[in-house]
Amino acid sequence: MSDIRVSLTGKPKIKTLTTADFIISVVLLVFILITLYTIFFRIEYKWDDFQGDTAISIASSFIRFDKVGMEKIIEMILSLINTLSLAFVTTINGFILGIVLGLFAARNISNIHISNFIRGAASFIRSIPTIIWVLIFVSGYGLSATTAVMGMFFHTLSFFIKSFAETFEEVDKGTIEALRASGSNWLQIVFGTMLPSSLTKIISWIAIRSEINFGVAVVIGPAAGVPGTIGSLINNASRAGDYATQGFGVILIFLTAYIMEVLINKIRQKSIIN
Amino acid sequence: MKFWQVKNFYEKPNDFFREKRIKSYIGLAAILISSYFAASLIGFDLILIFKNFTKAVNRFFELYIPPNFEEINNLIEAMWVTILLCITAGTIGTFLAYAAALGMSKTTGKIPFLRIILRALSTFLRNVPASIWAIVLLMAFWFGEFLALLVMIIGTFGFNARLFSDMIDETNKNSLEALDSVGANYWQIVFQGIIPETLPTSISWSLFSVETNIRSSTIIGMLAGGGIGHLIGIYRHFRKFDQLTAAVIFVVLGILAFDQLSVQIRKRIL
Repeated sequence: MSDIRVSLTGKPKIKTLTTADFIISVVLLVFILITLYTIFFRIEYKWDDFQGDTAISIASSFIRFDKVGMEKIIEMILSLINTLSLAFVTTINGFILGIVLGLFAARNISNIHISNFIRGAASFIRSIPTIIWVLIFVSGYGLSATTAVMGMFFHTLSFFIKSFAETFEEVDKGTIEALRASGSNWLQIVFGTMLPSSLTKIISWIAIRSEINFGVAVVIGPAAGVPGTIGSLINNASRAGDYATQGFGVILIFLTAYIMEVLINKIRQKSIIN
Repeated sequence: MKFWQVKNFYEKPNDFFREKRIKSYIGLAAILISSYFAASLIGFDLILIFKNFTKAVNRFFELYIPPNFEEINNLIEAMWVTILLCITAGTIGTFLAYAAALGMSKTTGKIPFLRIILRALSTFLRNVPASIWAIVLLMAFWFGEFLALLVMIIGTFGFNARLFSDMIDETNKNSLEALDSVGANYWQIVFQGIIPETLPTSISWSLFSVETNIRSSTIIGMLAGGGIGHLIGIYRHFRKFDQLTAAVIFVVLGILAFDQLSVQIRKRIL
């Protein structure tokens, strides 16, 4: 009977506490304690600054599209197209360099040292926020679309390196071996098996990154001061107290992002990316 | 089969591959041409990048290097607040998302009306970038840590709610059925069947949310105030670029450290 573990209340214990359970409870406890500390002791609640009437007027005029002027609507739609183009150009540029570096970062066809170096560089690039990349290039290129593309380019590149390298590593080992055994060189392996067998996944990754880049492109306007994007227009409308225009812009962004999400889910189901 | 038909037999797959190759070439050309048009629409200048690259790098070294750690106490304080805010937002957002997911999922959502409302809400919150919420809510709440927290909670909630509802849908139906057949009520099924099974994945996703929050804290702080992002915004506004570099170094170290921590935790719980 001695090997039956009994809890404090005398009930037999069915489950034993594993390390995983222990770590889960510690993480949960730490998170909850930090949350309580932050909410009750850390944050300054400036209720004097809270504008109740402004909040009500934002909420009430959020979907009053009849209040939005025709020229504002056209301006918004044009800036939406601009924002989409920004995201698209960045994605394509990142893709062109990313697929080359992704091939060098894939462990099954590349040197291990080169692969490790590229992966390390990519994760370092990713740890510097996009907005900082933009600020770095503002001094050289001015506040233009070129700066925005350049700033977003680095995160896109590191995303593509990581995802493409993982995709290429899933390529069937036997096929590569067979090509090597029959005397193919590196380029022949790349064009013979790596690219064709991961084509659908590459297209899915491009679609996913386009969606992420759209989100970034929306935000990059108000944060870095890049003109002509939809984010800047929403920011201006908000500062001017034109809440109907602001609401229209938010709805426009939502619809675009929603359509992209639906399309991406369709592409994903085809290529099975998790 | 005659011998000339054998030749024909071998030609078929060749045609198939040629057709496929032509299709992918056309697709590639279409993408390149449309990206060229998009680039000219927004005024993106590839030549300028190469022409001014050395100038940009020189200017960068001139302005931003070496980092100035004069206000290191402020930086440490701001980074500490940022991490607290990110973890708090991650925790609250995850809890709310889990509650919403219980109502949204086909397995546990018993009220169809509530299910539709929650699904629509999470879709809406997910698809509008968090920083747009910062702009929208700014006029009502004004700059501050509370607004930053609110924006991050919205972001975490939108991202996690759908993930969690998919996760609950994928739980093992047999154990739920077993609980049901021994007479467990709704909350007993939730607490004994669903939560224990989904807890490790939820914790992993909440860690990921905190990671995302720390990554986006710079931009949210610039727009909404609070934490190190607000400090970076101030440094940028007053053109104190060497101090901005010091703040960025703190952000990068914070991101790398939390990444390593969450990788280690995830390895042990999943």
